[in-house]
Amino acid sequence: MLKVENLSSGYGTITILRDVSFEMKQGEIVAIIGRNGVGKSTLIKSLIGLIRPKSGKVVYGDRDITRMKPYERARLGIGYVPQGHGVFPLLTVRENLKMGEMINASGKDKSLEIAYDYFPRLHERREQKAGTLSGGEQAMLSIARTLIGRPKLMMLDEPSEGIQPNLAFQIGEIVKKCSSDMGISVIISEQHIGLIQTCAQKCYALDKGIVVGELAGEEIQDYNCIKRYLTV
Amino acid sequence: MFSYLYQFLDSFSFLVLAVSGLSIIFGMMGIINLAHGEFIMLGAYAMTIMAKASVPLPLAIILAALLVGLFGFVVDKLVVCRLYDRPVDSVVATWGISLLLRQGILILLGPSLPGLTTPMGTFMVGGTSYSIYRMVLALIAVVLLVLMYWLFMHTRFGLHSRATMQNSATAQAMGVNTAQMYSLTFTIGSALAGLCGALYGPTMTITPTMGQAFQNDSFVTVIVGGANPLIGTALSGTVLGVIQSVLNITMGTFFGKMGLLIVAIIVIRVLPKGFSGLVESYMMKRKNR
Ligand SMILES: Nc1ncnc2c1ncn2[C@@H]1O[C@H](COP(=O)(O)OP(=O)(O)OP(=O)(O)O)[C@@H](O)[C@H]1O
Ligand SMILES: [Mg+2]
Repeated sequence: MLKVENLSSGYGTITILRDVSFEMKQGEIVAIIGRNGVGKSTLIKSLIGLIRPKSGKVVYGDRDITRMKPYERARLGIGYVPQGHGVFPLLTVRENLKMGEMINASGKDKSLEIAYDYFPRLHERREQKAGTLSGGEQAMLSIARTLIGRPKLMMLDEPSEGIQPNLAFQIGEIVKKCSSDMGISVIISEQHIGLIQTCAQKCYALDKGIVVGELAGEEIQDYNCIKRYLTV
Repeated sequence: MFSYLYQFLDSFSFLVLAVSGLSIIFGMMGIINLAHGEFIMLGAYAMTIMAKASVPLPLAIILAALLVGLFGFVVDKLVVCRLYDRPVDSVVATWGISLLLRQGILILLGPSLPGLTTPMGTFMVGGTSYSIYRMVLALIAVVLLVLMYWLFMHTRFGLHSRATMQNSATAQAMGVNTAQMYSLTFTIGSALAGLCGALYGPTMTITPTMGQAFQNDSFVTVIVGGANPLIGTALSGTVLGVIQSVLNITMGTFFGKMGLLIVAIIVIRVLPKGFSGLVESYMMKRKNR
Protein backbone atom coordinates (compact mmCIF):
# COMPACT_ATOMS: atom_id res chain seq x y z
CA MET A 1 0.00 0.00 0.00
CA LEU A 2 2.63 2.52 1.09
CA LYS A 3 6.35 2.14 1.08
CA VAL A 4 8.71 4.80 2.36
CA GLU A 5 12.36 4.30 1.46
CA ASN A 6 15.23 6.24 3.05
CA LEU A 7 13.21 9.41 3.22
CA SER A 8 15.12 12.51 4.30
CA SER A 9 13.35 15.79 4.60
CA GLY A 10 13.33 19.11 6.44
CA TYR A 11 12.91 22.85 6.11
CA GLY A 12 15.22 24.93 3.94
CA THR A 13 18.72 23.75 4.65
CA ILE A 14 17.81 22.04 7.93
CA THR A 15 17.36 18.30 7.71
CA ILE A 16 14.87 16.90 10.21
CA LEU A 17 14.06 13.38 9.02
CA ARG A 18 16.95 11.12 8.17
CA ASP A 19 16.63 7.87 6.28
CA VAL A 20 13.16 7.01 7.43
CA SER A 21 11.94 3.73 5.97
CA PHE A 22 8.77 1.81 6.66
CA GLU A 23 6.09 -0.08 4.90
CA MET A 24 2.42 -0.68 5.49
CA LYS A 25 -0.23 -3.00 4.12
CA GLN A 26 -3.72 -2.24 2.86
CA GLY A 27 -6.15 -1.72 5.76
CA GLU A 28 -3.44 -1.48 8.36
CA ILE A 29 -3.39 1.14 11.13
CA VAL A 30 0.12 2.40 11.77
CA ALA A 31 1.03 4.86 14.50
CA ILE A 32 4.00 7.21 14.37
CA ILE A 33 4.93 7.92 17.96
CA GLY A 34 7.45 10.17 19.63
CA ARG A 35 7.86 13.22 21.80
CA ASN A 36 7.32 16.84 20.79
CA GLY A 37 9.60 17.95 18.01
CA VAL A 38 10.92 14.54 16.91
CA GLY A 39 9.58 14.99 13.38
CA LYS A 40 6.15 13.34 13.32
CA SER A 41 4.48 16.24 11.52
CA THR A 42 7.46 16.60 9.23
CA LEU A 43 7.01 12.98 8.21
CA ILE A 44 3.29 13.31 7.59
CA LYS A 45 3.73 16.57 5.67
CA SER A 46 6.36 14.90 3.52
CA LEU A 47 3.93 12.08 2.79
CA ILE A 48 1.12 14.42 1.72
CA GLY A 49 3.60 16.57 -0.19
CA LEU A 50 3.47 19.84 1.74
CA ILE A 51 7.23 19.41 2.21
CA ARG A 52 9.44 18.30 -0.67
CA PRO A 53 11.62 15.39 0.43
CA LYS A 54 15.38 15.97 0.08
CA SER A 55 16.02 12.37 -0.85
CA GLY A 56 14.43 8.97 -0.70
CA LYS A 57 11.25 7.63 -2.16
CA VAL A 58 7.56 7.35 -1.36
CA VAL A 59 5.70 4.65 -3.24
CA TYR A 60 1.90 4.54 -2.98
CA GLY A 61 0.29 1.46 -4.47
CA ASP A 62 2.57 0.98 -7.45
CA ARG A 63 3.20 4.67 -8.11
CA ASP A 64 6.18 6.72 -7.10
CA ILE A 65 4.59 9.83 -5.59
CA THR A 66 7.76 11.40 -4.17
CA ARG A 67 7.63 14.43 -6.48
CA MET A 68 3.87 14.83 -6.73
CA LYS A 69 2.06 17.95 -5.55
CA PRO A 70 -0.23 17.67 -2.50
CA TYR A 71 -3.41 18.08 -4.55
CA GLU A 72 -2.34 15.29 -6.89
CA ARG A 73 -1.70 12.97 -3.97
CA ALA A 74 -5.01 13.91 -2.43
CA ARG A 75 -6.80 13.04 -5.64
CA LEU A 76 -5.13 9.63 -5.59
CA GLY A 77 -7.02 8.97 -2.39
CA ILE A 78 -4.69 10.16 0.34
CA GLY A 79 -6.58 12.00 3.06
CA TYR A 80 -4.90 14.32 5.53
CA VAL A 81 -6.08 15.49 8.93
CA PRO A 82 -3.66 18.29 9.90
CA GLN A 83 -2.29 18.87 13.37
CA GLY A 84 -4.49 21.37 15.20
CA HIS A 85 -7.38 20.09 13.02
CA GLY A 86 -6.92 22.64 10.21
CA VAL A 87 -10.59 23.41 9.74
CA PHE A 88 -11.40 26.45 7.60
CA PRO A 89 -12.60 28.75 10.39
CA LEU A 90 -14.78 31.05 8.31
CA LEU A 91 -16.46 28.29 6.32
CA THR A 92 -19.52 26.61 7.77
CA VAL A 93 -19.36 23.00 8.92
CA ARG A 94 -21.16 21.94 5.76
CA GLU A 95 -18.80 23.90 3.52
CA ASN A 96 -15.82 22.37 5.30
CA LEU A 97 -17.25 18.94 4.62
CA LYS A 98 -17.80 19.80 0.96
CA MET A 99 -14.09 20.60 0.73
CA GLY A 100 -13.45 16.93 1.42
CA GLU A 101 -15.27 15.82 -1.72
CA MET A 102 -12.38 16.61 -4.02
CA ILE A 103 -10.45 13.51 -3.06
CA ASN A 104 -13.40 11.52 -4.23
CA ALA A 105 -12.64 11.93 -7.89
CA SER A 106 -14.11 8.57 -8.77
CA GLY A 107 -17.57 9.91 -7.94
CA LYS A 108 -18.39 7.22 -5.41
CA ASP A 109 -21.07 7.99 -2.85
CA LYS A 110 -20.54 11.71 -2.55
CA SER A 111 -23.11 12.53 0.08
CA LEU A 112 -22.21 14.21 3.31
CA GLU A 113 -24.37 11.60 5.09
CA ILE A 114 -21.43 9.40 5.88
CA ALA A 115 -19.92 12.22 7.93
CA TYR A 116 -23.18 12.88 9.73
CA ASP A 117 -23.57 9.14 10.46
CA TYR A 118 -20.25 8.99 12.24
CA PHE A 119 -20.63 12.41 13.83
CA PRO A 120 -24.31 13.31 14.40
CA ARG A 121 -23.14 16.39 16.26
CA LEU A 122 -21.87 17.90 13.02
CA HIS A 123 -25.31 17.65 11.48
CA GLU A 124 -26.76 19.78 14.27
CA ARG A 125 -24.09 22.36 13.68
CA ARG A 126 -23.89 22.22 9.92
CA GLU A 127 -24.62 25.91 9.32
CA GLN A 128 -22.30 27.12 12.07
CA LYS A 129 -18.89 28.61 11.23
CA ALA A 130 -16.23 25.97 11.89
CA GLY A 131 -14.12 28.46 13.83
CA THR A 132 -16.82 28.63 16.49
CA LEU A 133 -16.74 24.87 17.19
CA SER A 134 -15.05 23.49 20.29
CA GLY A 135 -11.67 21.80 19.92
CA GLY A 136 -13.24 18.35 20.08
CA GLU A 137 -15.85 19.25 17.50
CA GLN A 138 -13.15 20.63 15.22
CA ALA A 139 -11.25 17.36 15.55
CA MET A 140 -14.40 15.48 14.50
CA LEU A 141 -15.03 17.87 11.63
CA SER A 142 -11.51 17.47 10.37
CA ILE A 143 -11.76 13.68 10.41
CA ALA A 144 -15.24 13.74 8.90
CA ARG A 145 -14.08 16.08 6.13
CA THR A 146 -11.42 13.57 5.17
CA LEU A 147 -13.81 10.60 5.35
CA ILE A 148 -16.19 12.28 2.88
CA GLY A 149 -13.53 11.79 0.23
CA ARG A 150 -13.53 8.03 0.88
CA PRO A 151 -9.73 8.00 1.04
CA LYS A 152 -7.76 4.81 0.59
CA LEU A 153 -5.13 6.08 2.99
CA MET A 154 -5.92 8.46 5.81
CA MET A 155 -3.17 10.32 7.66
CA LEU A 156 -3.96 11.97 10.98
CA ASP A 157 -1.49 14.28 12.67
CA GLU A 158 -2.02 14.27 16.45
CA PRO A 159 -5.81 14.32 16.34
CA SER A 160 -5.96 14.18 20.14
CA GLU A 161 -4.09 17.42 20.60
CA GLY A 162 -5.99 19.87 22.77
CA ILE A 163 -9.04 17.72 23.46
CA GLN A 164 -10.34 15.86 26.52
CA PRO A 165 -8.77 12.46 27.21
CA ASN A 166 -12.02 10.50 26.89
CA LEU A 167 -12.64 12.06 23.50
CA ALA A 168 -9.18 10.92 22.48
CA PHE A 169 -10.20 7.31 23.14
CA GLN A 170 -13.33 7.93 21.14
CA ILE A 171 -11.24 9.11 18.20
CA GLY A 172 -9.24 5.90 18.47
CA GLU A 173 -12.47 3.90 18.28
CA ILE A 174 -13.70 5.90 15.31
CA VAL A 175 -10.45 5.46 13.42
CA LYS A 176 -10.62 1.73 14.04
CA LYS A 177 -14.24 1.55 12.92
CA CYS A 178 -13.59 3.54 9.72
CA SER A 179 -10.66 1.40 8.90
CA SER A 180 -12.55 -1.86 9.28
CA ASP A 181 -15.83 -0.60 7.74
CA MET A 182 -14.26 0.97 4.69
CA GLY A 183 -10.93 -0.81 4.44
CA ILE A 184 -9.04 2.47 4.88
CA SER A 185 -5.35 2.29 5.70
CA VAL A 186 -4.38 4.72 8.46
CA ILE A 187 -1.23 6.51 9.53
CA ILE A 188 -1.71 8.31 12.79
CA SER A 189 0.86 10.45 14.56
CA GLU A 190 0.22 10.46 18.29
CA GLN A 191 1.53 10.86 21.81
CA HIS A 192 -1.67 9.81 23.57
CA ILE A 193 -0.97 6.26 24.71
CA GLY A 194 -4.63 5.31 25.19
CA LEU A 195 -5.50 6.36 21.66
CA ILE A 196 -2.53 4.48 20.24
CA GLN A 197 -3.43 1.33 22.15
CA THR A 198 -7.06 1.57 21.07
CA CYS A 199 -6.37 1.42 17.36
CA ALA A 200 -2.76 0.91 16.31
CA GLN A 201 -1.63 -2.41 14.86
CA LYS A 202 1.93 -1.29 14.36
CA CYS A 203 3.98 1.58 15.78
CA TYR A 204 7.07 3.30 14.55
CA ALA A 205 8.86 5.37 17.16
CA LEU A 206 10.71 8.47 16.02
CA ASP A 207 13.47 10.29 17.83
CA LYS A 208 15.38 13.22 16.34
CA GLY A 209 14.05 12.37 12.92
CA ILE A 210 15.20 8.75 12.99
CA VAL A 211 13.11 5.60 13.39
CA VAL A 212 14.34 4.22 16.69
CA GLY A 213 11.85 1.48 17.32
CA GLU A 214 9.10 -0.64 15.90
CA LEU A 215 6.31 -2.14 17.98
CA ALA A 216 3.60 -4.59 17.03
CA GLY A 217 0.74 -6.49 18.67
CA GLU A 218 1.40 -7.24 22.33
CA GLU A 219 4.21 -4.72 22.60
CA ILE A 220 1.76 -1.91 21.85
CA GLN A 221 -0.51 -2.99 24.68
CA ASP A 222 2.47 -3.03 27.05
CA TYR A 223 2.24 0.39 28.67
CA ASN A 224 5.86 0.60 29.76
CA CYS A 225 7.10 -0.46 26.38
CA ILE A 226 5.34 2.44 24.64
CA LYS A 227 5.95 4.90 27.42
CA ARG A 228 9.69 4.63 26.87
CA TYR A 229 9.40 6.40 23.52
CA LEU A 230 7.15 9.14 24.81
CA THR A 231 8.86 10.36 27.97
CA VAL A 232 11.91 12.51 28.08
CA MET B 1 -31.39 66.01 -2.05
CA PHE B 2 -31.12 64.05 -5.26
CA SER B 3 -27.71 65.55 -5.83
CA TYR B 4 -26.46 63.80 -2.69
CA LEU B 5 -27.83 60.48 -3.86
CA TYR B 6 -26.31 61.05 -7.29
CA GLN B 7 -22.95 61.97 -5.81
CA PHE B 8 -23.06 58.96 -3.54
CA LEU B 9 -23.90 56.57 -6.36
CA ASP B 10 -21.14 58.11 -8.45
CA SER B 11 -18.50 57.74 -5.72
CA PHE B 12 -19.77 54.32 -4.73
CA SER B 13 -19.62 52.93 -8.25
CA PHE B 14 -16.22 54.46 -8.90
CA LEU B 15 -14.79 52.92 -5.74
CA VAL B 16 -16.43 49.53 -6.24
CA LEU B 17 -15.48 49.21 -9.88
CA ALA B 18 -11.96 50.48 -9.29
CA VAL B 19 -11.28 48.25 -6.32
CA SER B 20 -12.89 44.91 -7.19
CA GLY B 21 -9.99 43.58 -9.26
CA LEU B 22 -7.41 44.72 -6.75
CA SER B 23 -9.27 43.32 -3.76
CA ILE B 24 -9.89 39.91 -5.30
CA ILE B 25 -6.17 39.54 -6.00
CA PHE B 26 -5.15 40.91 -2.62
CA GLY B 27 -7.72 38.94 -0.62
CA MET B 28 -7.07 35.67 -2.33
CA MET B 29 -3.34 35.78 -3.01
CA GLY B 30 -2.04 38.34 -0.53
CA ILE B 31 -0.43 40.06 -3.50
CA ILE B 32 -0.61 43.83 -3.82
CA ASN B 33 -0.80 44.52 -7.52
CA LEU B 34 0.91 47.86 -8.02
CA ALA B 35 0.17 47.62 -11.73
CA HIS B 36 -3.56 47.67 -10.98
CA GLY B 37 -3.94 51.28 -12.17
CA GLU B 38 -2.09 50.45 -15.37
CA PHE B 39 -4.36 47.47 -16.02
CA ILE B 40 -7.26 49.90 -15.72
CA MET B 41 -5.49 52.24 -18.11
CA LEU B 42 -5.02 49.38 -20.59
CA GLY B 43 -8.73 48.66 -20.41
CA ALA B 44 -9.50 52.27 -21.24
CA TYR B 45 -7.09 52.25 -24.19
CA ALA B 46 -8.37 48.95 -25.56
CA MET B 47 -11.98 50.13 -25.32
CA THR B 48 -11.24 53.52 -26.90
CA ILE B 49 -9.28 52.07 -29.80
CA MET B 50 -12.00 49.53 -30.53
CA ALA B 51 -14.80 52.08 -30.18
CA LYS B 52 -12.98 54.38 -32.61
CA ALA B 53 -12.78 51.45 -35.02
CA SER B 54 -16.59 51.55 -34.77
CA VAL B 55 -17.03 48.51 -32.56
CA PRO B 56 -20.30 49.13 -30.65
CA LEU B 57 -19.53 50.53 -27.20
CA PRO B 58 -20.95 47.70 -25.02
CA LEU B 59 -19.06 45.13 -27.06
CA ALA B 60 -15.88 47.21 -26.95
CA ILE B 61 -16.17 47.37 -23.16
CA ILE B 62 -16.60 43.64 -22.79
CA LEU B 63 -13.80 42.84 -25.25
CA ALA B 64 -11.48 45.28 -23.47
CA ALA B 65 -12.15 43.56 -20.14
CA LEU B 66 -11.44 40.16 -21.70
CA LEU B 67 -8.26 41.41 -23.34
CA VAL B 68 -6.90 42.82 -20.09
CA GLY B 69 -7.87 39.54 -18.41
CA LEU B 70 -5.84 37.68 -21.00
CA PHE B 71 -2.97 40.10 -20.48
CA GLY B 72 -3.18 39.46 -16.71
CA PHE B 73 -3.08 35.73 -17.36
CA VAL B 74 0.15 36.13 -19.32
CA VAL B 75 1.69 38.44 -16.70
CA ASP B 76 0.83 35.86 -14.05
CA LYS B 77 2.38 33.02 -16.01
CA LEU B 78 5.54 35.00 -16.80
CA VAL B 79 6.13 36.86 -13.54
CA VAL B 80 3.64 36.73 -10.71
CA CYS B 81 3.39 32.95 -10.46
CA ARG B 82 7.02 32.82 -9.40
CA LEU B 83 6.26 35.13 -6.48
CA TYR B 84 3.16 33.55 -4.92
CA ASP B 85 4.86 33.04 -1.59
CA ARG B 86 6.96 36.21 -1.75
CA PRO B 87 4.49 39.08 -1.31
CA VAL B 88 7.16 41.74 -0.89
CA ASP B 89 8.94 40.77 -4.08
CA SER B 90 5.63 40.75 -5.89
CA VAL B 91 5.13 44.40 -4.94
CA VAL B 92 8.44 45.29 -6.55
CA ALA B 93 7.72 43.16 -9.61
CA THR B 94 4.25 44.60 -10.20
CA TRP B 95 5.64 48.11 -9.67
CA GLY B 96 8.14 47.35 -12.44
CA ILE B 97 5.32 46.14 -14.65
CA SER B 98 3.39 49.34 -14.00
CA LEU B 99 6.36 51.51 -15.08
CA LEU B 100 6.84 49.39 -18.15
CA LEU B 101 3.21 49.71 -19.15
CA ARG B 102 3.02 53.45 -18.56
CA GLN B 103 6.20 54.18 -20.53
CA GLY B 104 5.41 51.58 -23.17
CA ILE B 105 2.02 53.09 -23.92
CA LEU B 106 3.54 56.59 -23.91
CA ILE B 107 6.08 55.53 -26.53
CA LEU B 108 3.61 53.56 -28.63
CA LEU B 109 0.57 55.80 -28.51
CA GLY B 110 1.80 59.18 -27.37
CA PRO B 111 0.86 61.35 -24.39
CA SER B 112 -2.90 61.12 -24.88
CA LEU B 113 -5.63 59.65 -27.00
CA PRO B 114 -8.57 61.79 -28.09
CA GLY B 115 -11.34 60.51 -25.84
CA LEU B 116 -14.91 59.59 -26.64
CA THR B 117 -17.84 61.68 -25.51
CA THR B 118 -19.81 60.37 -22.57
CA PRO B 119 -22.65 58.37 -24.09
CA MET B 120 -26.37 58.46 -23.28
CA GLY B 121 -26.80 62.15 -22.54
CA THR B 122 -28.38 63.62 -19.40
CA PHE B 123 -31.56 63.78 -17.40
CA MET B 124 -33.00 66.63 -15.34
CA VAL B 125 -33.99 66.64 -11.68
CA GLY B 126 -35.05 69.91 -10.05
CA GLY B 127 -33.40 72.05 -12.66
CA THR B 128 -30.01 70.28 -12.57
CA SER B 129 -28.87 67.90 -15.26
CA TYR B 130 -27.24 64.58 -14.43
CA SER B 131 -25.43 62.04 -16.59
CA ILE B 132 -27.43 58.92 -17.42
CA TYR B 133 -24.24 56.98 -18.12
CA ARG B 134 -23.02 57.48 -14.55
CA MET B 135 -26.23 56.00 -13.22
CA VAL B 136 -25.73 53.03 -15.53
CA LEU B 137 -22.26 52.65 -14.03
CA ALA B 138 -23.81 52.58 -10.56
CA LEU B 139 -26.16 49.86 -11.69
CA ILE B 140 -23.24 47.89 -13.14
CA ALA B 141 -21.35 48.26 -9.83
CA VAL B 142 -24.31 46.77 -7.96
CA VAL B 143 -24.65 43.95 -10.49
CA LEU B 144 -20.93 43.29 -10.14
CA LEU B 145 -21.23 42.99 -6.37
CA VAL B 146 -24.13 40.57 -6.74
CA LEU B 147 -22.17 38.53 -9.27
CA MET B 148 -19.16 38.45 -6.97
CA TYR B 149 -21.38 37.34 -4.13
CA TRP B 150 -22.75 34.53 -6.25
CA LEU B 151 -19.29 33.54 -7.49
CA PHE B 152 -17.77 33.39 -4.02
CA MET B 153 -20.70 32.03 -2.03
CA HIS B 154 -22.49 29.71 -4.43
CA THR B 155 -19.99 28.11 -6.77
CA ARG B 156 -17.35 25.44 -6.39
CA PHE B 157 -14.72 27.94 -7.46
CA GLY B 158 -15.91 30.26 -4.72
CA LEU B 159 -15.77 27.58 -2.04
CA HIS B 160 -12.31 26.52 -3.09
CA SER B 161 -11.07 30.07 -3.27
CA ARG B 162 -12.39 30.93 0.18
CA ALA B 163 -10.74 27.80 1.56
CA THR B 164 -7.48 28.68 -0.18
CA MET B 165 -7.67 32.19 1.26
CA GLN B 166 -8.02 30.84 4.78
CA ASN B 167 -5.46 28.08 4.64
CA SER B 168 -3.80 27.31 1.35
CA ALA B 169 -1.76 24.34 2.63
CA THR B 170 -4.84 22.53 3.90
CA ALA B 171 -6.78 23.42 0.77
CA GLN B 172 -4.02 21.82 -1.30
CA ALA B 173 -4.11 18.73 0.83
CA MET B 174 -7.88 18.59 0.19
CA GLY B 175 -7.17 18.33 -3.53
CA VAL B 176 -7.36 21.98 -4.57
CA ASN B 177 -4.83 22.95 -7.23
CA THR B 178 -3.99 26.24 -5.57
CA ALA B 179 -1.56 27.38 -8.26
CA GLN B 180 -4.39 27.13 -10.77
CA MET B 181 -6.72 28.98 -8.39
CA TYR B 182 -4.21 31.80 -8.09
CA SER B 183 -3.73 32.01 -11.84
CA LEU B 184 -7.48 32.16 -12.37
CA THR B 185 -7.85 34.75 -9.61
CA PHE B 186 -5.19 36.97 -11.13
CA THR B 187 -6.88 36.66 -14.51
CA ILE B 188 -10.31 37.56 -13.11
CA GLY B 189 -8.84 40.44 -11.11
CA SER B 190 -7.12 41.78 -14.21
CA ALA B 191 -10.27 41.47 -16.27
CA LEU B 192 -12.15 43.46 -13.62
CA ALA B 193 -9.48 46.15 -13.75
CA GLY B 194 -9.85 46.20 -17.52
CA LEU B 195 -13.62 46.43 -17.17
CA CYS B 196 -13.27 49.43 -14.87
CA GLY B 197 -11.01 51.24 -17.33
CA ALA B 198 -13.27 50.41 -20.24
CA LEU B 199 -16.36 51.65 -18.38
CA TYR B 200 -14.77 54.93 -17.30
CA GLY B 201 -12.91 55.43 -20.57
CA PRO B 202 -15.71 57.39 -22.23
CA THR B 203 -15.88 59.81 -19.29
CA MET B 204 -12.29 60.95 -19.17
CA THR B 205 -9.14 61.83 -21.06
CA ILE B 206 -7.18 58.75 -22.06
CA THR B 207 -3.55 59.14 -20.99
CA PRO B 208 -0.84 56.67 -19.97
CA THR B 209 -1.01 57.97 -16.39
CA MET B 210 -4.77 57.92 -16.03
CA GLY B 211 -4.54 54.75 -13.93
CA GLN B 212 -3.15 56.66 -10.97
CA ALA B 213 -6.49 58.25 -10.07
CA PHE B 214 -8.03 54.80 -9.86
CA GLN B 215 -5.02 53.32 -8.13
CA ASN B 216 -5.15 55.80 -5.22
CA ASP B 217 -8.84 55.41 -4.54
CA SER B 218 -8.75 51.65 -4.90
CA PHE B 219 -5.87 51.30 -2.46
CA VAL B 220 -7.73 53.36 0.10
CA THR B 221 -10.79 51.18 -0.43
CA VAL B 222 -8.82 47.97 0.01
CA ILE B 223 -7.18 49.26 3.19
CA VAL B 224 -10.51 50.23 4.65
CA GLY B 225 -12.22 47.08 3.40
CA GLY B 226 -9.61 44.53 4.41
CA ALA B 227 -8.80 41.19 2.88
CA ASN B 228 -12.28 39.86 2.21
CA PRO B 229 -13.06 40.86 -1.38
CA LEU B 230 -16.80 40.62 -0.88
CA ILE B 231 -17.40 42.17 2.52
CA GLY B 232 -14.54 44.61 2.10
CA THR B 233 -15.56 45.92 -1.30
CA ALA B 234 -19.24 46.30 -0.50
CA LEU B 235 -18.81 47.87 2.94
CA SER B 236 -15.92 50.17 2.25
CA GLY B 237 -17.42 51.18 -1.11
CA THR B 238 -20.57 52.23 0.72
CA VAL B 239 -18.98 53.96 3.69
CA LEU B 240 -16.32 55.76 1.68
CA GLY B 241 -18.91 56.60 -0.95
CA VAL B 242 -21.05 58.37 1.65
CA ILE B 243 -18.09 60.24 3.13
CA GLN B 244 -16.69 61.26 -0.22
CA SER B 245 -19.98 62.41 -1.68
CA VAL B 246 -20.85 64.52 1.36
CA LEU B 247 -17.40 66.12 1.36
CA ASN B 248 -17.48 66.63 -2.42
CA ILE B 249 -20.75 68.53 -2.23
CA THR B 250 -20.08 70.54 0.92
CA MET B 251 -16.37 71.27 0.58
CA GLY B 252 -15.31 70.33 -2.95
CA THR B 253 -13.55 67.37 -4.54
CA PHE B 254 -10.17 68.18 -3.01
CA PHE B 255 -11.59 67.59 0.44
CA GLY B 256 -13.40 64.54 -0.89
CA LYS B 257 -10.05 62.98 -1.75
CA MET B 258 -8.46 64.14 1.51
CA GLY B 259 -11.39 62.69 3.43
CA LEU B 260 -10.74 59.24 1.96
CA LEU B 261 -7.09 59.33 2.97
CA ILE B 262 -7.92 60.46 6.49
CA VAL B 263 -10.51 57.73 6.87
CA ALA B 264 -7.94 55.20 5.64
CA ILE B 265 -5.44 56.36 8.25
CA ILE B 266 -8.01 56.20 11.02
CA VAL B 267 -9.18 52.75 9.95
CA ILE B 268 -5.63 51.38 9.91
CA ARG B 269 -5.27 52.58 13.50
CA VAL B 270 -8.57 51.31 14.81
CA LEU B 271 -9.23 48.29 12.61
CA PRO B 272 -5.95 46.99 11.24
CA LYS B 273 -7.81 44.30 9.33
CA GLY B 274 -10.38 46.69 7.93
CA PHE B 275 -14.09 46.04 7.79
CA SER B 276 -13.47 42.40 6.82
CA GLY B 277 -11.67 41.80 10.08
CA LEU B 278 -14.51 43.40 12.01
CA VAL B 279 -17.21 41.34 10.31
CA GLU B 280 -15.20 38.13 10.52
CA SER B 281 -14.55 38.48 14.23
CA TYR B 282 -18.24 39.22 14.70
CA MET B 283 -19.12 35.97 12.90
CA MET B 284 -16.74 34.09 15.17
CA LYS B 285 -18.35 35.53 18.28
CA ARG B 286 -21.90 34.60 17.47
CA LYS B 287 -21.56 31.26 19.21
CA ASN B 288 -21.45 32.96 22.60
CA ARG B 289 -24.96 34.35 22.34
N1 LIG C 1 8.62 25.43 9.26
C1 LIG C 1 9.70 25.00 9.95
N2 LIG C 1 10.91 25.56 9.74
C2 LIG C 1 12.00 25.12 10.41
N3 LIG C 1 11.99 24.14 11.32
C3 LIG C 1 10.81 23.54 11.58
C4 LIG C 1 9.60 23.94 10.91
N4 LIG C 1 8.60 23.18 11.38
C5 LIG C 1 9.14 22.36 12.28
N5 LIG C 1 10.46 22.55 12.41
C6 LIG C 1 11.38 21.82 13.29
O1 LIG C 1 11.37 20.47 12.91
C7 LIG C 1 11.43 19.63 14.05
C8 LIG C 1 10.34 18.60 13.97
O2 LIG C 1 9.10 19.25 13.99
P1 LIG C 1 7.74 18.47 13.86
O3 LIG C 1 6.67 19.49 13.76
O4 LIG C 1 7.84 17.49 12.77
O5 LIG C 1 7.66 17.72 15.25
P2 LIG C 1 6.49 16.83 15.84
O6 LIG C 1 7.07 15.51 16.12
O7 LIG C 1 5.32 16.88 14.96
O8 LIG C 1 6.20 17.59 17.20
P3 LIG C 1 4.80 17.85 17.94
O9 LIG C 1 4.46 16.63 18.70
O10 LIG C 1 5.11 18.97 18.87
O11 LIG C 1 3.81 18.21 16.90
C9 LIG C 1 11.34 20.54 15.25
O12 LIG C 1 12.62 20.65 15.81
C10 LIG C 1 10.89 21.85 14.71
O13 LIG C 1 11.45 22.91 15.43
MG1 LIG D 1 3.49 17.63 15.07
